[in-house]
Amino acid sequence: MQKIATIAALAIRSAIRSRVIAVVAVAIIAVIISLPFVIKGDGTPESRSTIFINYSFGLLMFVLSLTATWCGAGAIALEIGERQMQLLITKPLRSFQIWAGKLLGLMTVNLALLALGGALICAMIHWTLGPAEMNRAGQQDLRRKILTVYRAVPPLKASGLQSGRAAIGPGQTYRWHFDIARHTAGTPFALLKFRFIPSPFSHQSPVAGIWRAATEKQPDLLEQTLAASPNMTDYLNIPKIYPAGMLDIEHQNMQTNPAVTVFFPSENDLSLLIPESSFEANLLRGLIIGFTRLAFFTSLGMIAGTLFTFPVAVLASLGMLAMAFSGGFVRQLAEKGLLTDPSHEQVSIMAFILNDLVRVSFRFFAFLLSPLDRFDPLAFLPDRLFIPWSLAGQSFAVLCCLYPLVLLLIGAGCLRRREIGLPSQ
Amino acid sequence: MKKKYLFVFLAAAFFFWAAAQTRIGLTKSRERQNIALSDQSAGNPPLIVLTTVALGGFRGLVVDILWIRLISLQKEGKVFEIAQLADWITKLEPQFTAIWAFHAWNMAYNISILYANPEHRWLWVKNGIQLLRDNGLKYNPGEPVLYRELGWIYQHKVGQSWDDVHVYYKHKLAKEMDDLFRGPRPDYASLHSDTKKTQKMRAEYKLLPEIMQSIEQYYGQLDWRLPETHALYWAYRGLHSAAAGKDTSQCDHMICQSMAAEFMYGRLFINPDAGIYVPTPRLDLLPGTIKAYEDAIKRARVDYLRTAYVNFLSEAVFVLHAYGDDQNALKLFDKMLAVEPGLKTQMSPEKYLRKCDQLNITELPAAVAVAWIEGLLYQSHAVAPGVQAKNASGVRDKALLLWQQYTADRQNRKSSEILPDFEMLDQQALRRADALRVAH
Repeated sequence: MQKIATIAALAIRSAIRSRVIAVVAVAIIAVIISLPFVIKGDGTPESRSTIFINYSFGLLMFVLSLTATWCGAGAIALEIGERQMQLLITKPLRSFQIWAGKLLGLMTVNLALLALGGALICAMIHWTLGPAEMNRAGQQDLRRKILTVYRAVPPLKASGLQSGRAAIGPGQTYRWHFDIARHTAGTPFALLKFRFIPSPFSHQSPVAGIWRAATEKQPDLLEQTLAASPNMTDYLNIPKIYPAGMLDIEHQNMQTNPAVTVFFPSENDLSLLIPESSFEANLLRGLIIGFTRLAFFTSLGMIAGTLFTFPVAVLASLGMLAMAFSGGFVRQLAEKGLLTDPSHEQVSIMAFILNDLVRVSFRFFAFLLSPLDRFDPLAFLPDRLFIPWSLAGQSFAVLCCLYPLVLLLIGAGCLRRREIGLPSQ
Repeated sequence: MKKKYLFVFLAAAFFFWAAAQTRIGLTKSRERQNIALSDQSAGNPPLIVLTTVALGGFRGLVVDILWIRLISLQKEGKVFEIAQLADWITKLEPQFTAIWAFHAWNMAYNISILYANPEHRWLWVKNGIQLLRDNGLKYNPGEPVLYRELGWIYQHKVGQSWDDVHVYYKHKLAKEMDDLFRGPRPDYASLHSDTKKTQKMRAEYKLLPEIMQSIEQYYGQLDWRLPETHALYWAYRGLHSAAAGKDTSQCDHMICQSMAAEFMYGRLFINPDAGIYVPTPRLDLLPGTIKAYEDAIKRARVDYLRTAYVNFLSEAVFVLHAYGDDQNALKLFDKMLAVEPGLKTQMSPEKYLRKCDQLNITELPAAVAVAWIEGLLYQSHAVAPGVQAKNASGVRDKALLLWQQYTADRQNRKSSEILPDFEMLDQQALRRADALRVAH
């Protein structure tokens, strides 16, 4: 263990000496501090803070992922190129110790940079929430709105239907059931988040409807007539719910003239939001997930650095990084391939074969990168959705332990077998 | 070694010089062939110059990525980020006028309508206005298209009744202007000493007092709480700031439309707290409106402006007749015949005025209907009290009947064209009659 710690210390020293870390730290400070001054939003403080969280955390993760990949590739490939590795190899060290030590050192650097970025985001969000023109009560209300994080509770599945999915004709009523037994203790309020699509689709004006909420103990918890806009995510405030087993939410479509049917096409289009945590705690969990992602990218860079020379390693690992950041593109290629219409008669057999090859290879990439989609803090933080500790734990297990361990075994094996002392190198 | 460095330095200097020479030729060639605008980067802020130069050809790619994100967010109903994306897209292509026009229109029209809440809608209409006014025109000061687009948001989105919360927009704009000017228009004499107000007018609203004053000197005193006045202002600026060779006919058209609107409903009685917004005709703006049309016809030489002028004159004849000013109505009719001699064979002036009285009010636009009703009420008040009381009462009864017919029709149609309360119109007519008495 001491040997690994020594290698880690050397990796940290080398990273600091390379000045990459200093440049990245300055870039993080400059970008996060200057972002609130260039963000416009739609004119409301809520939109400004949401955009700030989205952009600042997104940029932080992008810059650190790039740095992690770059430093990972350099940690092995550059040391081989500069003949530092030859010195290390001659010491009584196993190749996995070298690999693990370097990974540990780089992860320490990542942790420091991530902590710096997280602290700055937290400080700036508090700073932006205190506009001079707003009174104290207004500021407090705004802080409560922005800095509260919600747990999303989906409706229970009805038989034969996906949860939340519903089509409600003019004058008709639909009811969703929510299991809130574990969530409502002590919550002062809840929000119903919903979004619907109208039929006819051309109808863009607000659609009138009545929303009702009831539990066994509170049969008249809420009854509110609301004109909601199609295609827009809207929120309905539900008053304090006393501890209960089930919450029923009912929607009656009142839009009869002109007649409009409302669709809630997926489970993401209707959920109950229950206040769960503070922004700071959620950011911390987001940073932990971010840290686990950096562990994966660092390992990826290191494996590329073990297999190739530095320029090739950087190119290969940045290619993987680009794929990781364009998850939608990878998924689309994995599902459909390159051909938009494979059933077309004029498509040649060669094109079919090529298309299948692309699909198979991208299915492999999509499978490999699927944890990155699942453990993405940006899917939670800007929308103020609660990140469970369990998710952070799973992310740690998969991205910080399992993937790096597999890559460590491959990398250490390759490093052991690589003929480092050749004159050409 | 030193010789080697000197050679490299000289070679670099030569290639820089050669690149600069090539660029001059290329820019001239682009201008000649109308492939792109001439070099307008001079005067742009450093951030814009840096991004446009540093990104080079990749600028288009970045714009594409941002635009794809914008479309996907708009589809998902997450529109709060769109103002930011539109800002970046337009700044990456600052001289591409269609992009400015599209994003301003998208925010003012497509996104605003998504909200049920009028306050949010107004925010997005203002976002559209701000994009063009604060940035688009800064980078493209010689583009009449952008002035026209900005004027269109005021004239159509705020001024017309297509949006079901148009009255809210009108109140908000009127309140902003009222807070700024402490009345319908600025007191130009005191503006020189009020640097704070002048600064706000110039910096925030981009309302340049010297241009406002010259517009009022030329067309007549205007009410700056009306959206049509702002449309007129921006069209006027577009007309006078257009770069050489740019087509300004649309600005001319907008000036005419705005002045016609000022004539038809430029006299505003407003009380935002009570939700009162009563626009009635400004008969004194008739000469200014005629001037606007005649100037535009001379400048633009397009047929549709002549047709629009004839239409306006026919409406103006009707309005003057409604207010009992048949003498001037007949003069105006003669003017109309002078512009369009073909009409002579179709109708005599007397027959035209008789026909005006027989029109079906439900077929008229709200502004003309208001003019007719208020005109009749004005006639009833303008008569000296006690002299022809019987006739005055008859005219008033007719006004009430017309108001009831129109209101019932629009209620049946569930139209957003709603007439002001009859009592409000009556008060306005009384004020007009009182003003006439004072003047005499």
